[in-house]
Parts: sequence; structure tokens; C-alpha cells
Amino acid sequence: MSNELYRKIVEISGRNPYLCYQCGTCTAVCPVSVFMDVKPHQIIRYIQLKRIDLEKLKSIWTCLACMACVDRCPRHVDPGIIFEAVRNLVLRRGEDAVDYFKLKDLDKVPTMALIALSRKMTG
Amino acid sequence: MKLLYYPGCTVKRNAIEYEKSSLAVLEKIGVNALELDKWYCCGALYSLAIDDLMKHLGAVRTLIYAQKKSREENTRDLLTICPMCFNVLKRVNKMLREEPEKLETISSFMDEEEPYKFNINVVHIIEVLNKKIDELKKNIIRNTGDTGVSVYYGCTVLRPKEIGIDNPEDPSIIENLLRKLGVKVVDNPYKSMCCGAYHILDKPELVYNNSKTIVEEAYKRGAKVIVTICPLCLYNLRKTIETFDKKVDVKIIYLTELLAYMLGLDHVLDKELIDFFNTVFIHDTKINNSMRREA
Repeated sequence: MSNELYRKIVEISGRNPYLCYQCGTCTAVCPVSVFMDVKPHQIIRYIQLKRIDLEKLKSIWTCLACMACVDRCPRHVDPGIIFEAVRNLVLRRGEDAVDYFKLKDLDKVPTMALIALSRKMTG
Repeated sequence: MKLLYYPGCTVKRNAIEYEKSSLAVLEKIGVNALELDKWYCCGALYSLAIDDLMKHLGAVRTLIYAQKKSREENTRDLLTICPMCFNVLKRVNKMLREEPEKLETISSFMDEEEPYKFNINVVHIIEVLNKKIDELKKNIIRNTGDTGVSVYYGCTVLRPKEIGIDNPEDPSIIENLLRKLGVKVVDNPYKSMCCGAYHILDKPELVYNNSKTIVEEAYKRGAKVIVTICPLCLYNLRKTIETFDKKVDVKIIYLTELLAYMLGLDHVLDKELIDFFNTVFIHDTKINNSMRREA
């Protein structure tokens, strides 16, 4: 199962997780890593080990694709792009990550936020 | 100077004052922005999965329509003021140019459109203002005195670095522009840290945490005004200030609102905002007069 997930992650991200040497730059520059239980470099490590438990990797939904780690990854593993691939694995099963009834101030927040959120959290 | 202009959803709905002030400033400095009569949602965030070509369609159609218009209007530049629209359109444009097989797949899906020939150049309003700095300088009628102004860039005009308008590690394009116009700029090391963006809808505490760092740092360094170019950053920073126990005396506005004020374009500004500007910026008419003479 994890082999198949690994193959798909590589295929739709176009990145090679094995190039990562765990320097931790991604976690250091991530503006939201304090809100993640499993940190960006740890997610990459789980993927390298093919221990891909999608339930455990919930912190991919906290990533905003701000590109801070992608711009600075010295090995072009580009965690932010790999996380998008992992998000897609979940979304393509038809499991959305957003409950529209629970969103706050939907009437006041700029439209772009709703579109961006829908893009990331629904398939 | 003539440009095609792509507005996007938010400037037509939640950031009307941003569009109004931007277009007025451009007009004043002799830039003719021709709004596209037909455009498609850019999708707000560029899709990062290689096989997810479907999500680029709106942006591709917009680029093709701009291409049609570019022949009629004789300009290849497509102006955006929303940084997310800028980011998506510019990245899609780059992807089409560098990966012909993807362009082919997308084109075969929409064969009613003319082929895209890569002749559109996506630009952000900051780049235009920066190019027209002399025109701006010439038309300034109010200065901002000794009041500290801090800049907040957000993410999407800077990253990824391949499409950014300035060095993402230490951007200075807006500060340099303001300094040349005589504004006292206060630096903020968090000027390109993510404010939390769309998580304001589902994880507001994350936005409050990040935006607090940004606002407090600018305030500590003496800024009375923070200028931004993103409607979502503006909303998030303002919303965060509301959550502070101790009120801070700092206001978040659009860069173009400040420029409109300095250019005397009061008809595009709220009366409340003009009153705020008049209070926060102590005017020295002598400096104003000498600046006019120089011009």
C-alpha cells in the first residue's frame, strides 16, 4: 500500500524524496510549522521510509503553499510541492478536508480566501 | 503607456477601494489600463500537481483572450493588482512556455480557442509604478513628513523566486519607491512572512499568531501606517489588530491609497481615510513647495 502511495507521490509531484538529507531548512523557514504536530522535514522522512499513514500526516492541511521552503530547499526536494501531491492523494479519493458550515466570517472575508481554501481542501 | 488589465474577483467585491485608487494613480501618471471585457477566475492558487492541468484552464483562457486583445490594442502587458492573480497568471504563463507538451494537452481540450503563442507579459502594478517613478515624483503634492510607514509584501508577489518581482529574501522595491517619494520607511524583517492567508476561514488562531508578529514588529519600530498590496493580507492584519487586548495605534492601508493621497486624488479616497492621513502626516508646506519647484 505504502509503495503504491510512494510511487504516486513521486509521479504527481515530480520530486525525488530520497534527495532530502534532513537539514531541516523547510521546518525552520515554514511560517506555520509551530501549528504542525508532524513537521515538514519529518513528513519527508516518513515518505522516504515509505511509512505513509495519511491519517498521521494531517499537518499537510496546515501548509499554505507559501513557497518559503520550496525557494530554499538546497536539494530541490521542495516539500511544499510534495505536500500538494499528498493532499491530492486524499482528495482524489473523494475525501474533502473542509466543512463549509464551520467556516468563520464567510460573508466578510475576501473572496480570494474562499477560492484558495477550496482549491487546497477540496478535490 | 498602455496595458491590458485583469481585475479578478476580490478587487471587484471586497477591495473596491484598492482598484479605485490603483486606477486613479495609474491614470494620473499617464498609464492607460484597459480592463478586459471578458476574463476567467484564475483559481487563486497555482496547482502544484504535475497532472492537474484542469485547474490551469481559467488562467489559460484569460491569457488567450488577452492575446486576442493585445493585437487590437497593440500592447502585450497584462496588468494585475491582486497578488494572487499575478502569481497564478505568471506561473501558468511560464509553465506553458517551458512545457510544450502540457500546452498541447490543454489546447486539445479547448479547440475552440486560438492557440496560445506566449506573447503575453504578466505584470504587477508595483512594477509599473516603479518604472514610472519620475512621473510619480513630478505629480506629488503632499508629503508624509516624519511619520513612519512600514511595508508588508505578503508571499505571492515574491515567491517562488522564478516569478517574483524582487529578491524574496530581502525585498525592497516598494521601500525604494516610497523613499524616492520622500516617505520615511520603517523596515520590518517580517515583511514577507505569510500572514496565514486563507486559514482565516478555518484556523483563524493561526492567522492571528502570524499577523500579530508582523504588526507588532512594525509598530515597535515606530510605524504608524502599514501599506500592503494584497486584499487578503489587509483583511487579516486588520482583523488581527481587533483581537489585541491593548490597542495599537497603527493603520493598515493599500499602497495605492497612500499614493493617491500624496498625488491629491482625494475623489477616490474615503473622507474618513483622508482625515486619518491629514492627522497622521504632519505637513510642512515649505517642503511641499520646494518639492514642487524641483519638479
